[in-house]
Amino acid sequence: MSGVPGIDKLLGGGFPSKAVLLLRGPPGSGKTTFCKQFICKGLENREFAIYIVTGEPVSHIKKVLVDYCGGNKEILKNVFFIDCYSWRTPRRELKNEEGVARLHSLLELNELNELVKEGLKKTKLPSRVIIDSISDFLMYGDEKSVFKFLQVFSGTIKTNNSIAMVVLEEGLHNERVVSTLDYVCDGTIEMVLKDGQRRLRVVRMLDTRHPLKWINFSLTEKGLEVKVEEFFA
Amino acid sequence: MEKVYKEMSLKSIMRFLAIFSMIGFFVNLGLLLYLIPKIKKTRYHPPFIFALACVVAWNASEMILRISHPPYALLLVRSAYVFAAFSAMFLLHFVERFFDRELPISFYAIPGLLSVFVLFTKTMVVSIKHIAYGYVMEFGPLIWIYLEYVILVNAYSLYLIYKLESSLVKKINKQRILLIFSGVALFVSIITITAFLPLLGIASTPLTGIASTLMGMFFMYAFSLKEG
Repeated sequence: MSGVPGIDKLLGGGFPSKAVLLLRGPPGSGKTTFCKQFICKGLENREFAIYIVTGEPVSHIKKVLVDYCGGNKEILKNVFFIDCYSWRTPRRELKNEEGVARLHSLLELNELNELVKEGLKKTKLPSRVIIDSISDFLMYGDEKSVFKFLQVFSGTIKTNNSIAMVVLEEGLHNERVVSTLDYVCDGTIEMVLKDGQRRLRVVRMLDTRHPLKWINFSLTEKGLEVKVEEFFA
Repeated sequence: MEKVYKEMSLKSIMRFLAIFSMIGFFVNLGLLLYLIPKIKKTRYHPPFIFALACVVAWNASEMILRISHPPYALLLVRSAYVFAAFSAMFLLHFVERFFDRELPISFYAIPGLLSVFVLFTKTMVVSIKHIAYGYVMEFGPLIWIYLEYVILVNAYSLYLIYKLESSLVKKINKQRILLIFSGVALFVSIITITAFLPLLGIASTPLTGIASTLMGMFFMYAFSLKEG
């Protein structure tokens, strides 16, 4: 189950069990919220999660996940964070945290793959992995290395019976990059923000027959939701 | 003289029973007036407002039938049944929109044509007779199809509202939808019971008024809920 209303129904029950999915859309379209909700749904189902963070502090994500999961701090025991954000901060200011590994540069893609492998080996639980976002790696590294990383990453995910979601910021990359990522991943979800209206659709999904229908949603502090809020406002 | 007194007291009971429809009428009318300016705010507003307008019209018909014995009573009672059916249809349309689905025009066109037919023929309500503190009706064969249709539409709406509630993540929105569900469920349950009473020859009870009052109050509460 994706954790997002409408999507599971559209896919006839939920995402495939072993897959790497691309979540693409412009900034502000709700991608990060989708990811957090996706992770939270897994944690509620007693699954394990690996969160690769490039765009915000781990402490903030922890806070949001706990909030999404009804204030239950225990859920964080089942999350392994790979912090790709704090490399901007001087090393001496960083403190070691349990359940958090740090990448000191966005070019260390081999190390990132090793950390994901290690993280998945630690658990026997089904796992969900998030890369939010791959755009940061594409901005700092060369495209070919990122595509190669994703191919290896995809193999790791599938051999460990896991599901991963890779976030791509639209508008930052050329069409060739987007198409290659579409090809490397097993499914694509597209999100848009137009005229103040947020919408999403499943563009393609491995082994799944699905309509190309847009779903309207609103962004709440608890995640993505069918548009109920506006009706009562 | 005694007969005149008896007749007067029966009339006053009937007028007293009209209060229930009147309260329902004003509660729903109040909510309707509050929502009409918001009709273009979201795509969910129009079907909800139309459903509420049908409930208000239905309450008004009931109220008039209880207060007086108008010569057009038969047309009024038939239109009350039509309004009840259309309120159920608009409610379903309202809920379907949360699932990004649109109902085909035939969903309204076919019952619309049938409504004209039942309004002016004896196929659904044959006659109406005012008695003591209420009125009894004689029904035609279409009443069974009508009741089955309305019950099915309402039951499906309730199922969808339940599904909508379970898909929400925000507590306050869950509460709001739960209130809408409770209001509709209560209304549908009472109305279903009430619908079968005249078929058993029991004079119409004030239950419809009570049911729509409760539904209107549940809806009002849902709209009044604020965050924090």
